[in-house]
Amino acid sequence: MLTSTTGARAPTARGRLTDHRTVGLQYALTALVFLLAGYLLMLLLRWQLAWPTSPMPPLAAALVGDANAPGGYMAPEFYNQLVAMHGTVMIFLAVVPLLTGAFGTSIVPLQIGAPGMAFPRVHAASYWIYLAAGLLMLSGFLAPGGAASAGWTSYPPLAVLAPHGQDLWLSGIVLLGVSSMLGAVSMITTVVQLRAPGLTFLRLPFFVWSQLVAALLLLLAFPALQAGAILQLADRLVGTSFFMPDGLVVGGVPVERFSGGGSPMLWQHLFWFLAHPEVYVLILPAIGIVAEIIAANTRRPVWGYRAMVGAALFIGVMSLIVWAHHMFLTGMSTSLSAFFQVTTVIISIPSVVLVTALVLSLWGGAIRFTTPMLFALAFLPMFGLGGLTGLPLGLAASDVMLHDTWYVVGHFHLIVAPGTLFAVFAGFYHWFPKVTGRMLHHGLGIAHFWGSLLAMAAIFVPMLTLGLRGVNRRMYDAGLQFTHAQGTLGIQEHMTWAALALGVVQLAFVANIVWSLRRGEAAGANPWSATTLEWRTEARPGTPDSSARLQVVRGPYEYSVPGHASDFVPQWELMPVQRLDERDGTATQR
Amino acid sequence: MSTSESRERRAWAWEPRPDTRLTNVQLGMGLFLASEAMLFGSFLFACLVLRAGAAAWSASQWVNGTTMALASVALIAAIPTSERSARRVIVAGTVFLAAAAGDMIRLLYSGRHPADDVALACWFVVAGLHWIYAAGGVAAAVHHAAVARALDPRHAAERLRALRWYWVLIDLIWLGLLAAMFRP
Repeated sequence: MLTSTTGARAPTARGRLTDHRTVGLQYALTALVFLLAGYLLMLLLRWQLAWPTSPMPPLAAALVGDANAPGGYMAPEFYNQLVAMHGTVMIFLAVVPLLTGAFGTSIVPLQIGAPGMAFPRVHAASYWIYLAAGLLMLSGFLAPGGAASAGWTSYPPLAVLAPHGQDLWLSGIVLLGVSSMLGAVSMITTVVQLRAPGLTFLRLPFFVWSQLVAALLLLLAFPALQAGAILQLADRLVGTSFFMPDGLVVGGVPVERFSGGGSPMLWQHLFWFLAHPEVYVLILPAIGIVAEIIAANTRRPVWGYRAMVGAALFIGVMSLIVWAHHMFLTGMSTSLSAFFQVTTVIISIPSVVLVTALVLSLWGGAIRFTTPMLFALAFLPMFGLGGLTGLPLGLAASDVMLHDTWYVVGHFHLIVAPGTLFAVFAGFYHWFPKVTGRMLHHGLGIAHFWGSLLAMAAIFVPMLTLGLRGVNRRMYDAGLQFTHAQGTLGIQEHMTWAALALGVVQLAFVANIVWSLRRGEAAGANPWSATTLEWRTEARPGTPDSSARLQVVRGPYEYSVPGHASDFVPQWELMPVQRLDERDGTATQR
Repeated sequence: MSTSESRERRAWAWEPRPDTRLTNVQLGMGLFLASEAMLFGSFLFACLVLRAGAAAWSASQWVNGTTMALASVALIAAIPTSERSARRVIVAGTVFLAAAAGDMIRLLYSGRHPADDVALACWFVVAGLHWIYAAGGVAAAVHHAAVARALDPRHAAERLRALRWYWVLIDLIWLGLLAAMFRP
């Protein structure tokens, strides 16, 4: 298992539960299970979209039950549950916990030379609360009326009137807010307070910066959604009217249970105040992972490190003032929509800075096409495509046409799937040797990479064309009831087959892990010849570190340094002409 | 890491790190309070939006000024200022909890329910959550009073400072809530 940078003895049984390596592994395994659950939910809804007038396969129909698929035909209410829970599971329970909980908790303390997290018990508690939240939300499928079905956005009044599963969803959101807050407090304090001597902020690996900004966003933005969830729970359980307007009529029948006076728009503001920064929580750690891998596999420093750090910080600040670009169709004034359009266009600039810096980092590099590098390279154009497709959505005039169509679905999936998930895969291949002491098989990795890339392109790019044709999202019959959607079923069918193929390809990844755990090539202390602190010790536990005190003496990406014998100079290694100053530990010339 | 280095790292829990001049407790509590400020800020934002859109705001009809004043004084008295005042936090905090809870019970018994209108909904939900946080502050003070003597004095001082910051935020939230609900 992971060793600390200092090679400290493995913790006692009592302390093992709070050790960052254990918590990171817990997050990883749990998030992967939720990722699988989200994938299976997606397969069910994709089946319905491809063949909306046909019954489900008998096995699937038996699994979902007759209430959800009477006579084998999926009920629209169940489709809505699949859509809502797929989004919820993927965003809140799978990808963000993978990036921040799994990679962040496992790798950040190692990369800063810390013995662990600043608040180990707080961080461990964040995991258990996250697990409870996830189980609570998914238990909605067993509740009368089924799981949450008002979208991952839970817009009132629909969400307030939805069945009991919505209560479980809202309660899960409140718990996730607590978990995120605890994890963020621990992560930020760890980065600020537990850096090794000599590790100044501008010597931090970009991955650590990305985790820091993501933690700050979770800390400051999640409370807004927590507040909204508590208010919506009050509406549902106590009968308050925070979000219920006057004179509500549903199905021709006035809703008299509520006194009215509330504002559905209020929920949208509270929700999107978190949900937009949440997408930067999804993408910044992913860019951090890609930056580490590109530096190690081009054997040259990341281009524009300081610009990247500045861009990440700027994104963090700006992401808090762009949220209403998700609400252009709510009837806001032109001056307000102009403000949010401007801030949205402005925030695209640091995003471009990040991607451009990574692309420029390839120039003049001695590129090694390792498996993690393949995923990192593919991340760049796919994230770029996803980001560019967001521009028409950030401008109100074009968003009027594209809002709530499949174009939006294609846009965010291109960013999260071949974007963020590719970075997650890259991170797994890159740090697997650190965790297990073995390398993953390169051939299986190539198969995993190409299969995933082709499948994801086949699934998500056609969504853009569907949206441009005006086909709305969240329709259980794939829009068949509308004339303009006729002729698009073939596209839905192709996407479904591609989604199935994507799952099959992941078997290569699973097989790779299982095979490599037993028979993978043994990894040394630093199999990638990387410069950052997590590679300082042997990959296997129990190997004592040298008695030398850890001291960081240079930046994180000193590759191909002129005059140096090897093509990398680790952060902790003194040059022959350097010595440590005994007074303050800084490196000076002899 | 050497033993002395470990000790030094652990000591940053309550001794300032030289370059940041912060202790872990200070930073951790500061971050936690920032998050809670955003939480209650969102609640107060919601109340203000609903009040701005309401045809009528019923708060002045059911507020009990005496109870609010007593609760406010108790909250301010609950801010710890020295080692001895952990007990004062417990006493003053308990007075606040009793006054606030008593006021809500009075409202319920007088037939006012949070579902009646948005003003009552705002008060019950937000003040209710604030009550829970104040109860947490009293519980923290009880715990501190119980363990302080066994701790390193610097550690105990840091914990008390953190508790003080917590109670200051609780007070500020209360004042914000009173302003949002009852200002003319």
